[in-house]
Amino acid sequence: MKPFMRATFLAILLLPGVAAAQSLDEVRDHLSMLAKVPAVTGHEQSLSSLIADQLKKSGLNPQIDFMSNVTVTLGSGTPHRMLVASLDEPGFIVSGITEEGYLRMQRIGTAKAFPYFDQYFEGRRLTIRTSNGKTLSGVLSIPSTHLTRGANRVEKPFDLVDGYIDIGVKSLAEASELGVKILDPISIEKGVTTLAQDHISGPFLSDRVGAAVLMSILMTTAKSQIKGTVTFAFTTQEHFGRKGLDRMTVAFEPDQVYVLEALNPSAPEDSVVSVDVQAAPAVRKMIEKFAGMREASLRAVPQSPQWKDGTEVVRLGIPIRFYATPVEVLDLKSVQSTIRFLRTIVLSGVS
Amino acid sequence: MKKLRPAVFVFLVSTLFAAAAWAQTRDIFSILKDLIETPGVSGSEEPVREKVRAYLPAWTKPQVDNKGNLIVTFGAGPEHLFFIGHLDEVGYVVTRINEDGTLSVERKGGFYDKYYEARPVIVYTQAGPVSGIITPRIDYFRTAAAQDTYDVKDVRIYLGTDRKKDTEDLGIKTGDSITVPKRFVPLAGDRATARSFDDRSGCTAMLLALMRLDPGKVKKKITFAWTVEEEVGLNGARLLAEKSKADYVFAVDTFVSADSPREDKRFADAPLGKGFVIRALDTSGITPLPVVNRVIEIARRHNIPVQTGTTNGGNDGSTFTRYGAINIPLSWPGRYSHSPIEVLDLTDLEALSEIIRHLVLEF
Repeated sequence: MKPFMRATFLAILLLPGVAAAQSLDEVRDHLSMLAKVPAVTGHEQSLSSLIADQLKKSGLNPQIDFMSNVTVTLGSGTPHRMLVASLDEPGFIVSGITEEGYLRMQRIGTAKAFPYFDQYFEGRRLTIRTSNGKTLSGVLSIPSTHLTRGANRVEKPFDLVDGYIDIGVKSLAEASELGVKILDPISIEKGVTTLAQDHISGPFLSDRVGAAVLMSILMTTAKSQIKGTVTFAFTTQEHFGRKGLDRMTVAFEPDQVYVLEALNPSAPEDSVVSVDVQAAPAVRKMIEKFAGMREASLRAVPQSPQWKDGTEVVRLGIPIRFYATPVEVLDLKSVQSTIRFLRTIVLSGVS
Repeated sequence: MKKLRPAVFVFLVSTLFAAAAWAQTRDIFSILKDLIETPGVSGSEEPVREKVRAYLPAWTKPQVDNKGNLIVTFGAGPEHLFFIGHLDEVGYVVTRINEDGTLSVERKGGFYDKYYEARPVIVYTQAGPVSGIITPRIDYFRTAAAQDTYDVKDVRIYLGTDRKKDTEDLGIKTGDSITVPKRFVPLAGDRATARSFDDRSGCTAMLLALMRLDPGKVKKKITFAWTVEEEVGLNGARLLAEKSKADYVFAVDTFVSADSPREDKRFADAPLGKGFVIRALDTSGITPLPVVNRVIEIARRHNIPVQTGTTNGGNDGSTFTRYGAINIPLSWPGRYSHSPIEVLDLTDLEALSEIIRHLVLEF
């Protein structure tokens, strides 16, 4: 496409009302739907199925692989761009059951987001998905206020050694009757709180916001207008070495990968959607057309040795306050900006 | 066919008993859920009080005193038995709207703030509820954050606003009460978890006892009172105690149990599911042993499962003893006191409700 024609095309796309747009309420509903489904690393099946079902309702043909990665490929020819959003959240598995029926727990993976991370699970309602498909509620036991007050105990942060999940049963036998088994996934109870000024809060929104963006684009973009090939990839096992992303890039061999990630703001200027300075000049130039976006130096995404030589990675950071806590906060306007920006990328063929 | 009749009879009888037991459990479940999901931080108990009042049987003549206590008195006789549970729950109150739009708070009642850190909350304004979150501690990503103390002075509530004026425009004022979102969540079997079983469970047990009581059979003066401000110094009960002239007071409140894996079982080890508890010794008083035995005798007469024990904490009944009344605290064993995840067994609550009804008639 000649520069003049491309500029005209982009200008038309950016006119209000021309590109299909979602209201903030629709964005919130979409994200809330995804955020309420537990999907700890390695146990993303329910969320993957939900996404695939929603996409099928929009006339799309999603594929789910054995790792529960979900993909939709649209268009044809070059360039082949892949838009990536991860699905999984940090969580635990049942590692044992005591004679009294309490569940013991073990982290999936070894790394914590930050040293104090586990403290935010203590004294919470948790959800256990049993091997027979049931969902059970439990609470992570704590010492009682009355029995420890003034007991001169040393205040120490929660450690998994003290992790006992109370699901209401009185014995190991009762827990087994409910179908609880070793390796059943444990997640924090999910829910979304609507705050003022288009903000929402909930546990691990950072692990759903990218998927919500991709779903919105897929549901509101006319397939016939897509330039080149675009693969939308909802990937699993992000919190276990980004295994899903590795598999997708090897499977599809894209020329360019757009990775949607959370940006943990450390300064007020970080509170806007950020595109990595490493992105191609044409991509960075498009930022000027969108309010609430900026160019920034983001942490490089390490590429797998199996990736095709020359695969270009563009990282988009969506600001999340209180990142990696049960009360992550997201400005829905950021999500809307990201949707508009990426939709334009998809439609324009910019690379 | 004739041979089958006894079996059919047994089946029908057992089905009827099962249905009756189920109906009773449903009563407890539905009333407790309703009271749990109504906010009532100390000093802001009106919504809970009105819920309790709405459940009272038609024959009662409820009164509300100047402090906000709800009182039902009935029957006549030489002795006055006084049953008392509290309406209020622990929580926060807004003390300041900060320039950055966040709220500073003070605690109502005693609890560990760290179990409320990084949780959603609801601020109850005159204009209606406003959702917010208690933010994680400052710089929670730091390695040293885990070693920091976290106290009420560190608690900040974020509502989505970044300016004081925007927060004020939400209708928030100092003095507004704050709780975590109130939800009754069933666990396996007969157990459940929620914030404020202390003392909505006591309120429920007293209500059920009244609902199942035949007032025509009562031969004593009886008072049931649902009080305010127990968690901040037994304030509602203090006012009642002064005027009550009660002979016996039965404080209906939690027995904080050590029946969970992270507690020292040296004391307070009353297991869940084994019946109501006579809280014979706590931080606020001692119950004379002959009186404890009298309650046990009545419980056994009616096959009501009963436990005795000692735990920490005070109760409304202790304010009556200085006026000559004997305090007999009655409880259900509860885990994880004053936290957002308190746990109880509904069968213990059923036992508590039944002993209250029988004490009214037979003590």
